[in-house]
Amino acid sequence: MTLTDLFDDETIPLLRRLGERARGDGTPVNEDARRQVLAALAESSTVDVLRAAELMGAALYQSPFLDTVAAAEIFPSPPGRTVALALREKGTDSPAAPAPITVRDGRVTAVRRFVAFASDVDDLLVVGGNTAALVAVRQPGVRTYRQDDIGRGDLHTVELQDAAARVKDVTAAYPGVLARARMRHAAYLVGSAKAAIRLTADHLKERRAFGQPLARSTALAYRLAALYAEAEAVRALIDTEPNPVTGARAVLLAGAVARQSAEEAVHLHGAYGMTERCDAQVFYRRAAVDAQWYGTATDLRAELLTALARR
Amino acid sequence: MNFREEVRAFLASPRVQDAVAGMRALPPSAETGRLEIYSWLGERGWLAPHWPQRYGGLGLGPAEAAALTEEMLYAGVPDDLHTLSIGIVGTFLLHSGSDAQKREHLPALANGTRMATVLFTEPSCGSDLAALRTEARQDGSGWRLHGTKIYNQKSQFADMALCAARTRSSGVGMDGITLFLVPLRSAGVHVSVVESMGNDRFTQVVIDGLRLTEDAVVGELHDGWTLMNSLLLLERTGIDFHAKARVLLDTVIERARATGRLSPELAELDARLAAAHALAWQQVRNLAEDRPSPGGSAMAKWYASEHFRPILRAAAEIDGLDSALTSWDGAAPAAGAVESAYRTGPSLRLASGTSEVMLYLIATGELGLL
Repeated sequence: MTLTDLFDDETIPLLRRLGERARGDGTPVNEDARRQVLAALAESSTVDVLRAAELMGAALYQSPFLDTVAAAEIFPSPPGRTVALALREKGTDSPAAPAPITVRDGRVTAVRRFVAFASDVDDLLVVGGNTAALVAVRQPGVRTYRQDDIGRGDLHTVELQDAAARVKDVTAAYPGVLARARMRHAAYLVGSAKAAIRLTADHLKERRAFGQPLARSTALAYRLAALYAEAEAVRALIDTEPNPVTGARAVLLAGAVARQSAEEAVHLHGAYGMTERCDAQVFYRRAAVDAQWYGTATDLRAELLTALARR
Repeated sequence: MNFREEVRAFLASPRVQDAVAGMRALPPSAETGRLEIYSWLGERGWLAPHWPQRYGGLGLGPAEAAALTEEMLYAGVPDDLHTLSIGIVGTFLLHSGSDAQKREHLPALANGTRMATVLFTEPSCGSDLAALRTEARQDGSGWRLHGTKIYNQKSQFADMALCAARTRSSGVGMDGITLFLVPLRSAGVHVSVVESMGNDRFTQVVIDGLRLTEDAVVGELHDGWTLMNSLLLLERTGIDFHAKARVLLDTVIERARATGRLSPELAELDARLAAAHALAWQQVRNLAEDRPSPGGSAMAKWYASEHFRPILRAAAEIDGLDSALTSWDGAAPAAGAVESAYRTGPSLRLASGTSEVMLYLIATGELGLL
């Protein structure tokens, strides 16, 4: 199955809600489909991952796929094994400076929050300070608690108490791994921004007000056109060489355009945009999480400021 | 050395740097025109590196043309007359001129001994060129032109211009526009300057019964609209707008470093210009692969040019009232470059298609709106 088959107009409505899980410890909305899509994606992983990320973003498809790709740069895993990144202790932590973890005799003690799909994956990649630890989820010493977030994602708090792990010093490797992960996430955000804009443009063509389609209004059309150009500019940036600066730049700008596109999507759909029947609200919900997944705008600007001062 | 490195080395040479320093020392309202530097570049075939060698170029591609523009602007060499002469008029002739027109004009344009400008805008029409009124009446086998063009640039320094005139009235504005090559130093052509807030003035060109032979027609008769829409695209990559914005931002960043006022906002603007640069080069690659993108080039131009305002606002935050001092005042930061850019700034959202025209092209071409 090709990527474009996987992310086509028929599958996208299903994919957009595939990451959802009932509150608490409930089962995923469609567990079988989750597994099948992820397996199909893994099989087509020889394709351009940035392109795949953009398509995933357009579908708002949530899965451990991109985390698994990033983790494999530090701990190569056997095919089919999935990994979730565990980079934060607090919501305000920046993935560029993960809070320390305690490692003793190959065993890890730490708390990590906002870990996506922690209960689905095989392993966690826990990064703290200059250390990375690959921790199997299903073992004594690993406890996961479901969080409940606006994006209806599958986020968890993970408590590790002397959990067995493979441990590596990543002082040299982590900045590059993070940069490439940010580029892929930026591609995901650009995909979501452009999809929100297209969804809204389609609505404006159908919705009539004051005797004509809303699409005829330059005030509305130009706002979407400006956002589309912003998204394309970030897309072009994603195609440049990844390094810590371009990674931070791309994810900063992509987060901003994804958030603004989602805001406009809800607004330009009117009250309908706030209802469960309309995907505009799904973009809006997801943007609140995805836009700051690799750092808040404040954190990212601060990182870039440090780099600028050294340039 | 590759082409860019050769150009960079040449532009860093003492005689070019002396000429640039001379331009920087000009008073606030001084305008540059035909530069000696253009002649030096022209002698090497570098003014139009992407043109065939038989027309005075080097037979290279759009990437080298873009590299030249970037290096000129980064080195402080104004590119406006070069862009008009080579990038627009030369491009029109190269793609749609007759063999005789190419032989007659392209080598002279490429070596910088002849300069050309553009006469499209009129007092009553700017972005809406379908409403232009300049008229070309058949006169024997030739044409006689009457009309007024305004807000064009560098016409006082140029030898000839590409002029859009109406050759028939069918009731459909886009139909019946024809492009002519007009000699600017000729009886029947009156060029005057219109003072502007920026250092570069506009010109008004009154064409009063100028007679042209049929050889002056560029492209098909009555088909100027199609030509303007398809060929302006070839110049609109955003490369020049990005480079101008980058030079300004780097000046502002240097001021911020010197005053200890580097800010997160500047870091974000730096990131945004990196995106503008990437998007502009995507358009250059599209041209090199012979698949120009109307929507893409509109996005590249819009995105780059929209950053002048936030950069200028950031400059004001860094230098406060000092940022308002002109180059005439010895205390002006960056020798008045910020003040000068503030006055020139609005033109960048207007030139080569206004921001609104770019948004129209994106909304219609990319999103199917309007």
